[in-house]
Amino acid sequence: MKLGAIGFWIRIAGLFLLRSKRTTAVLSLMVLLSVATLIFLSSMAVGVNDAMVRNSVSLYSGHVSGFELAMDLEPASLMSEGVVAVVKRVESQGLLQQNDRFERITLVASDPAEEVRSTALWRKIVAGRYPQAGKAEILVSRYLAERLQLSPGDQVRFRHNMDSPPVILVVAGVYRTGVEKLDRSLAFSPLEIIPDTTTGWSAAIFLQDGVEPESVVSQYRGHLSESGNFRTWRELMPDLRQLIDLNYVSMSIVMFIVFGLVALGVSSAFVIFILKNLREYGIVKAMGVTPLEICFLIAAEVGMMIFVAACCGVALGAVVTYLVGITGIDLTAFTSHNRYFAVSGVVIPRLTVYSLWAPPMIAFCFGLAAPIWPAVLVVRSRTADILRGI
Amino acid sequence: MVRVQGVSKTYQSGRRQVDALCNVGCTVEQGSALAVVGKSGSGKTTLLNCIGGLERPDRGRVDCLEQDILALSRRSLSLFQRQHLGFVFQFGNLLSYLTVYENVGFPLALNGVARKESDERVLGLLERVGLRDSQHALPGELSGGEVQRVSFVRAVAHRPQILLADEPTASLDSDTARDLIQLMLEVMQEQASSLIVSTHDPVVIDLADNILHLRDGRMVEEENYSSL
Repeated sequence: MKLGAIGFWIRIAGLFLLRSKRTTAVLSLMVLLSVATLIFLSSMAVGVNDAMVRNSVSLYSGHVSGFELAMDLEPASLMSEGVVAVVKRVESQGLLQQNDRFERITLVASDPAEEVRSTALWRKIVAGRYPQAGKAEILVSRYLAERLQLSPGDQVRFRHNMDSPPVILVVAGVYRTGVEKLDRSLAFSPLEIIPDTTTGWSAAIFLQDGVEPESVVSQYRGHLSESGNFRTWRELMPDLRQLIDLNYVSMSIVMFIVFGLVALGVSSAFVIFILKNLREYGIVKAMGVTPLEICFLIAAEVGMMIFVAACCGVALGAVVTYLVGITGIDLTAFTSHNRYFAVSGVVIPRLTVYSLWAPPMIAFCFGLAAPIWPAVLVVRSRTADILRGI
Repeated sequence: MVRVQGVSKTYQSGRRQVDALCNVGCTVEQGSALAVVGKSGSGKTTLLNCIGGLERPDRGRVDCLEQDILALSRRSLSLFQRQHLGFVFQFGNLLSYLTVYENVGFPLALNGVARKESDERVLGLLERVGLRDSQHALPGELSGGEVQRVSFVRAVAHRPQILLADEPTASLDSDTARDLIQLMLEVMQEQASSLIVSTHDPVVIDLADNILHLRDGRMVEEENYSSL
């Protein structure tokens, strides 16, 4: 077929769609709603993944964790592009003593203001409050509080070992996150309260939405090759990474199943539509339209309809996602006992290239397959048989 | 010229076989009109379909313009049909989603006729059949006679050398039928085209150059023509 002929058949297909108003509208609506729904669902899946990452990293670790950083390295030097906050932490191993009870703990010393601003640990305090800067205070887990029979206001002693002098601290608060690793033997205090015995510090690095932690880590590795060791949340939380990958796979399978069904529906609807209008295809065959041109005409009719419907579906899906994203959807009732939603159950759907393009692309690919059956039916039917059936 | 030689066609109807055409032959010179007459079920439409390549006979040979159309591939046959043949069907059979103008312009576009030339041709033909004002109407908005006139101008728009008309006046009143047939013959004479028309209509039979009488798929002997 020549280029001019292709334009002619596309015009004929367009007229066919425009003037077959009700059928076009019903079929288009089916595709439009499928694309819009899948865009919203996939953006919800992305939102759920975001929420799990946000919840998991905001409690303590940040998107990127730095270890064994040189004491002369300033947190400000880690504030590269895409980094929102860097929390400096100095960890000390030691013993926490209350009367004759001892527990081995890891005491994390940090700037309370920075910790409260950047992490959500303060939201998990079940008694008392977060320690204040400059005060000899400590925040302990509920596990430690129960083991040592502590409550806010009690005094405890911290020492690095049995021979070192104790530091007296007042229990400011008790927390419980639901994450076992944090809820065991971790305690928090302000910086410079505990005598420093370590040779390095740790960093919890928080990133803007959409910034890939791997890119930040590679920047650090380029600039700070001599100092420290950086790991992303994906490396530190392989279980969460797998869960997110599983979510994407599940979503992709759902998309293929939905569009398989939609394509089958579109194909069947087109077969019915073509059978209803078979006479018209018989007439064009009698006028000398070649099998290739008939196939192209049918493919153009289906393709144009799906293209336009899918574009409208993308717009509708994007608008719905945007509107829902303003407030998010609070799923706390379904997530309150889930450690990946320890801070908040609010899911904010987010559009990604994948969620925006996968549904219409799948719709279009399946749509191209949809007219094969009707086209073969028309081409293989003999013109006289079609016209005799009038 | 159209030459049909020993054409036979059998259909399977349930368990029995029906001889739609049995050893039928005829010749239509260029510029002449042949009326194919006979009762309903006598094989008129099957013969026209075989001549136009819409149906493949079981036996025999069909030459249109010195071309054995049974030897053509599916694509070549389609190209031959679009260039050299025009069909007028009993019930018009316009494309319902195209306007009158677009229906008539369809075969011209298929044959790659330039837009300006196509416009002139379409509007000229519609003027001639008194339907220029209805050029933007869809087929559903036309009367039966108007549909048949549009169907005719669509069939001749690309100046085919052979026009096949299957009972074109069957659904029309006698005045409209006479007008349409006269117009058909006029246009065919202007274009020096051959016309093969199946009909029961005595008006059409009177105006045709030759008559082929079919009964149960077989040609009726010449001496019986007077009985028509």
